[in-house]
Amino acid sequence: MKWIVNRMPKKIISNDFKSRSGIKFILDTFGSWFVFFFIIYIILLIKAVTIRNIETNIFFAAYSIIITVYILSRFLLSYFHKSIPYNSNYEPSITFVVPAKNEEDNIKETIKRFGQVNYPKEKIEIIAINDGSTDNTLKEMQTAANEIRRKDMQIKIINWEINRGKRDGMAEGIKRAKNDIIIFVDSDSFIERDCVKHLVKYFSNLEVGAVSAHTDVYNRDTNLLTQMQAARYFIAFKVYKAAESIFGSVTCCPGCCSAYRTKYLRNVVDKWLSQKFLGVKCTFGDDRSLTNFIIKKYKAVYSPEAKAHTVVPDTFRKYFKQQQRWKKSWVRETFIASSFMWKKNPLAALSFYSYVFLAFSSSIVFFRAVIWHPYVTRAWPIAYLSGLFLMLLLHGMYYRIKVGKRAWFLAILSFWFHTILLIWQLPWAIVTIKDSRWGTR
Amino acid sequence: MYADVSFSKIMQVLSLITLLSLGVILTLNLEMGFIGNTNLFNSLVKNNYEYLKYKSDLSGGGNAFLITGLLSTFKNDVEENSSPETANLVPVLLYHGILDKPDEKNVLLDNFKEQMFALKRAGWRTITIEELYKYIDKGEKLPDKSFLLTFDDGRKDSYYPVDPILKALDYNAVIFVISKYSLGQSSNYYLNKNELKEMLKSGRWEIQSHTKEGHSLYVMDQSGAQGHFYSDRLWLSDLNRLESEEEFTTRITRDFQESKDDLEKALDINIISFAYPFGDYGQNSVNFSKATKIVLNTITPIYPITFYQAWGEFTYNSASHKILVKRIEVAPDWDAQKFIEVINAGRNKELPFTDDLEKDNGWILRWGARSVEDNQLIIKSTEKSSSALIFLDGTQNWADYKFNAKVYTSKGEVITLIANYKDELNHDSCLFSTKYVRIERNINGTKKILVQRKGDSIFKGATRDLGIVTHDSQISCYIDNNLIVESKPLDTIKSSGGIGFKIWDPILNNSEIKIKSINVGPINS
Repeated sequence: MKWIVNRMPKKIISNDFKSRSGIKFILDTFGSWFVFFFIIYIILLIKAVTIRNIETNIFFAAYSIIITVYILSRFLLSYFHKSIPYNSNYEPSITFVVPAKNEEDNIKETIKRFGQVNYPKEKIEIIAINDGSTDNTLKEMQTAANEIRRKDMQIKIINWEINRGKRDGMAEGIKRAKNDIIIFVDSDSFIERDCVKHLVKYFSNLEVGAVSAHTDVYNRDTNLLTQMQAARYFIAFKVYKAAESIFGSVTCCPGCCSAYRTKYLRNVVDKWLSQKFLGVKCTFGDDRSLTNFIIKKYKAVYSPEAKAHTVVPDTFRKYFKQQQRWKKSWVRETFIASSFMWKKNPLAALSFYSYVFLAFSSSIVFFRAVIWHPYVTRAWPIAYLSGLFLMLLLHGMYYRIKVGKRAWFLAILSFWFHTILLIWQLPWAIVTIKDSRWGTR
Repeated sequence: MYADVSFSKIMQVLSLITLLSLGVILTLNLEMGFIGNTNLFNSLVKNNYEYLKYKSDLSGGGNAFLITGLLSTFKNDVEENSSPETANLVPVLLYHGILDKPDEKNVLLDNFKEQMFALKRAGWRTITIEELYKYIDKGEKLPDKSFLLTFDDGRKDSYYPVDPILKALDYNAVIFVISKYSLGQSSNYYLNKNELKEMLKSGRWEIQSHTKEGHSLYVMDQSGAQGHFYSDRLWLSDLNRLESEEEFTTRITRDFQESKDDLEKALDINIISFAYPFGDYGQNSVNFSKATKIVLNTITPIYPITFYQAWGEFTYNSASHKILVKRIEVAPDWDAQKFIEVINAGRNKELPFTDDLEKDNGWILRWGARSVEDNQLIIKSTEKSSSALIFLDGTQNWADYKFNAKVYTSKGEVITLIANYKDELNHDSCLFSTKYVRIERNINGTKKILVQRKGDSIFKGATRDLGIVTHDSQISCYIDNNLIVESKPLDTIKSSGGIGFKIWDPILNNSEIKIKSINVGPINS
């Protein structure tokens, strides 16, 4: 077990555990990992029993086994994930594209951060689009732009009086960008100084069309809901995107901060802009959709060193709407991706289709375990709910080990609660897929 | 590939996976031992370890059994000296659990191993239920020294300790399971469905039916006395009466059928045989004299072959078209020698046959008392009996022979030599008494005097050579090789059966003879 201890210190020492003495530190980390693997052990035990009784219900047993293999394999793959080193000989020119609507609180900071990046100034271009804001967004943009210009950097502000939508804004940016790489940053996201360096380094490989940055939650300490999302973001990037990234098939380079090769974008921008699904124009899930267009031909990877921070919904109502929007775009884009993912690396393809199976089965399994079975047998669905919780606890332990003791347990508890509460969102998203009313924020 | 697949990372992951799976396997092993499920560790490690040990023992290997065991898996060290002759008679052995610690009811593992090894070394081979069925029903030939190995109840301790032995000896066995238990809730006592499937897969085990509900005792009268499911009419407490004949028939028929159907469906196998719980097919009935008849009538269409434990009968089975097959229930106190004696005693004895009575060659006592000492076979009545009856095992196939015995009479009124013995209800005899010499024939318990000659033929305190001859269906009696009486040929069917003795006196505990030698010679027609 020595290796576990060895590979841990760097990050944690630099963050929260500086003051701890050596031995106590080792015990503490060793203990956390022990708990992590102990949870896996318990999960495996439960699954072994499931396999033994697989005849009782083959579909539900299969679901249970596949989801376990899927989740554990994510952790395993992410452990093998490796980033490439930064090469100062390769420094392509970049264009930041920021579409914004009613973001007076954040837009200034977002743009200001572009001026502070560790990258040659002459290779940076900024395009900010004010998409029909009704507040002071434009004014804030201009204030930030003046600051940028004072640093001899190029910034262009496009002002639309009437709102056209985020996708149009991004497309406008693609069309106007002069540089090799476009970095999309949401108007409520803030990048770190080294973010650009670590994003562009992957483009030295011509197969790579898109790179996702690592995004943490900016307003993490606002309340339990944002703490929960912080844990969720961290795991989604560090584990799930890292696992996908091994094969260069990251299925979503999120809008908060992702880089694309301009040349490849130009080829697809018109198709993307006029994308229709079931006859309805697509107005949300722009990031997942754009990634889909790229990974059809090229690779999309994840750069854990490229760091950004984003503001997440801090009320349940906003969170709920965001989740519903994401679910819808997930259904649509997954449907599209299914048509070509099989051509990718077999392991990546297997992972993808397994996940599709799991996502679509989850609500059926949930219905049976939590509603139907308890109704028929008059028994509480303790096995299912504790199994689900155990899985999330595993994620929580990972989060705690990597990030430190925060409100990780409460975050996981609330994640568990929200998973159960919002499980019906996916089937609902399928049913209402053509309805785009929730398309705008 | 954006992956770091360095050697150290792979080793780390591999060792963790090994550690975790080992943990899971060991825990499941514990848990399954606890709730009584398939023992993963057992089947993976212990079973093979024991198999090698037995394999090595068989080839005379010492402590380095793992090596000798492995080596001997490649060559067959044991001389398969089974003769090319065909078997006249076939024994069926019955065990229940095989234990490490004695419980007075079940055979110990060490004894079981010795018994199986002794059989193997003597050239015995196991047969399948199908082979036995074809032998019994159609008279299909089996090699000499064939036997069927059976276990009752479907207990876990019939399988786990035994399987490595079967594997090492290349033997197979039949296990009669209680479908209600083996297909029902998991227990730590009975084999479950998964284990049965595993057993079938090994090819060493056949599963047959032992009953569904009939392994428990049921109330059979108002007082609450308990009886057997298949042989007693049960007490219907809510109706305050015994069940009717019809209800009895329906109940047992359903159980026979359901046990078969459930096992066939669950395990995808053919069930052709049934072992009666307690060995009771109605013959031990307390309150229903028609039980035997009904049981045999209802079971025949469902199971072509059924098993019971035989006591006081010929131990081996002959090709007889009989639905009832006898089994030798191996007792816990038999050592290897006693076991071999029983097995050898039951084997078909060849004519001419001489018994110098140095040892017991398989004299089976029906009642009274007997002993073999000082080269004599001594038969006595007891304080509770006015008579005694014994017969010689392994003689049931005999026909057309002359049976002579040198008999010293201590006391008693009638000395009987028996021929054509099938059972106590079916045999021919010469009765030598103080008043007459008489030839009797017993058919299904009905006694018939064929011929009788008056005069004293019994000599207290003296040794006489008594004889009985059976030839075709004619019986004759001899004293000191002089023909005394002779019956007329009666049946067209040729008589056959074994030899025996019976003694009688009107007073209890007042009969005793000492037999000094026995000669049986064939008579050629």
